[in-house]
Amino acid sequence: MAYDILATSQTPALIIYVLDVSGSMQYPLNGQQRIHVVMDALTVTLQQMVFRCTKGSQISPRYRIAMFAYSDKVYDLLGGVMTIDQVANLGVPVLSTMRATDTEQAFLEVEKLLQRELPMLGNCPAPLVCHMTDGEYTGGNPEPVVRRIMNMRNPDGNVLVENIFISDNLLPDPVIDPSTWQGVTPSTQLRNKYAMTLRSMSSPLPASYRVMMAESGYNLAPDAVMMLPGMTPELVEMGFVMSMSTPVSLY
Amino acid sequence: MPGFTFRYAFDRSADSQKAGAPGQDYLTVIAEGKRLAFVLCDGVSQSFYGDLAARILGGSLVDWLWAGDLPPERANFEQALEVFLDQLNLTAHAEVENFTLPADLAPMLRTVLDRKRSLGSETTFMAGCLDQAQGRVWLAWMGDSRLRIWRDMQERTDLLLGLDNFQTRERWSTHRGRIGTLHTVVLPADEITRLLTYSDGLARLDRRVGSRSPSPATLEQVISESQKLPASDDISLLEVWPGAAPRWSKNRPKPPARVHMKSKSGDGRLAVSWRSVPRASGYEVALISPSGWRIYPADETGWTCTLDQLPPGAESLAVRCWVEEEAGLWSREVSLNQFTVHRQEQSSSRSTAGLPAEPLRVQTPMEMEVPPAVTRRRSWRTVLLALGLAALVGVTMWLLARGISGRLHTGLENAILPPARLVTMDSKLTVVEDSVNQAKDGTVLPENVETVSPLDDEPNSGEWINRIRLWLRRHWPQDLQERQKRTY
Repeated sequence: MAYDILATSQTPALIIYVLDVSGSMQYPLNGQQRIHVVMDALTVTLQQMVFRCTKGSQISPRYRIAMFAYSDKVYDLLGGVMTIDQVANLGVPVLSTMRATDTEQAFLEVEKLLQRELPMLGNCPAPLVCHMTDGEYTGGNPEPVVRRIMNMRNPDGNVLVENIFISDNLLPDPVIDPSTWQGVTPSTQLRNKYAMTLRSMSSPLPASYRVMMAESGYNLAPDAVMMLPGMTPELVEMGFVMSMSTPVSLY
Repeated sequence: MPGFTFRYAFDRSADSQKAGAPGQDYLTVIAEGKRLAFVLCDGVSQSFYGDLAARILGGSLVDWLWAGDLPPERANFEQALEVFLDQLNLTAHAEVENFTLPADLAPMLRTVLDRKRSLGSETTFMAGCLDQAQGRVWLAWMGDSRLRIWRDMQERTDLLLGLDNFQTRERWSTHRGRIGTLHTVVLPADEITRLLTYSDGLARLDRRVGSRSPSPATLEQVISESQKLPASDDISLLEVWPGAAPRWSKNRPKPPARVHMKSKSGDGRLAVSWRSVPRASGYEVALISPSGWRIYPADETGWTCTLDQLPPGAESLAVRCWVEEEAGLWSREVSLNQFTVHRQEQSSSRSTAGLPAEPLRVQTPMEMEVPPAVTRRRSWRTVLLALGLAALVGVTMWLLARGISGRLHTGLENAILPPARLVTMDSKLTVVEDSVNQAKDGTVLPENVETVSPLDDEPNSGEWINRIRLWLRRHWPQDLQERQKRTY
């Protein structure tokens, strides 16, 4: 469970984004629609991945990306898994809000994808699932399927699950400076019951990810979990930065 | 003994070769009589076209080292170099700002490159001037490339260059100048009987190179293997000896025999053993798959791994030994198909259930040796046929090699390296020299490790070595590649 295999073009990191596009995502967050905050953060994240993978003007395919948006249905935004160079050519998908929040269906799609992919990831970093939502599910309970996903593993470690929960007041105190914030730990007081559920469905932050986060300017506690309260656009962005913190070969 | 002998190597990373893109290392050497100056740069790929900074700094710094009247005191040398590097920023900054991006870039990539441009192009460097007339050696460096020195077979790097003075974070930037500490030393020339510098793409040499220099054959092997590894990086290397180069034995360490694999039911582990090779100082195991190699260090006579550590599609395994600095030949490949199948079944069952691993489906203890006993009778005919074919191919290759060698000799008689030393047709270098009559527009050399010696006994070697400059370029112009095909 070292989570120390480097992402290279031969051993790329698989990152699966699961994005809630339910109706509530059009509500504002710091004066901006939540869906736009998410798209901005996603854009920054993909650009940062390209930044890490670019040598001259060549993008080395060190990341492989899948992207699901979900509401009443689940939408495979990239039509499967794409390498980061392909995503860079495609650009960031435009998201629009819909209605309900069938989180379980989205994770069932993720599970199917991982079942197909895992046998081919023997020497790759453990895959990561980054789930972004702004409210409780309206379909079936996603927890059992998320638990199954968290139990999947490759030699690098169990599949990592990260949750970004967009909400105005999850924590008792606002996070003034994300760069000095210690992150959500098992003992952090959370104001929302679903946030507690999401925390229990979030993987512990691997030490190697913590180091990469430190290189990006974040100072997370050793016992932080992979959950981010999206109370501000900066914290949402921090959550997406966490999703791409697989150690990467810098050659 | 006057003069220097040196050899160099250069290769691009597997990614760069695949994309047809230039590498980001840069190596330049000037040698004349009792003086030699060199710069080895490793462009930072995270920066804006790291090869740009590498080329700018490498080209300018080697000229500065060569032309300058270098101060004999370290502090003065360092101060002068600081001034030079700071002044170089002014022109380098403008060159980066004026660099034209390819027109057909995706918008996201263009945005990223514009951001990188604002941060500048960066490179690490190892540089030096060895002057036997003045009896001094000046060395300067920033970054994590390697610069190693020996005196009389004893490595003196830590003692004279410092233990922690090769840091990844230290580099030179076109926009920010020196990032971190500039390291310099000035030593008496007789402190160094061998100098070796290489970029981190050859980090595998760190623990393999000791008191002796690895032979060209070992270097060739390590470089070509690097292409197959997941973390394949650009490679550059320069090794310098005052006086003559050592002589290397042509005998390679033999491959280990009787490579055995064993996996017991349920333990999920693969154990590999072999017969030890006399004088071997270490072993390595290569897991070979179509997508690349993994090479692991091994103990004297064995190596184990869990079955799920086998790379997907791993087809075979081979073992070799090291005898001091010399890499042995790889053993015959042993098929991994049986184990890979079990591993895939294991992964599939695990994934389908989404649960922790089930016990392996290997029912009984297995032991396999190549060739497998069950096929031995049938394989006699195959072996005889193969031997016959191998002999035929060998004779053909020998005849062809004689023909090629003769043509090489003809084609390179006026080039700057002794033709007798050219071994393969797999060139990685373009060499441009500026004071020899021939090959003004560059000569392609069919070799990626080459030794240059003014002391060589071979005819004509002393004439052309009078003053040469080697530019090891990362990307061949297409016309040179075509010309090489025509010429040879």
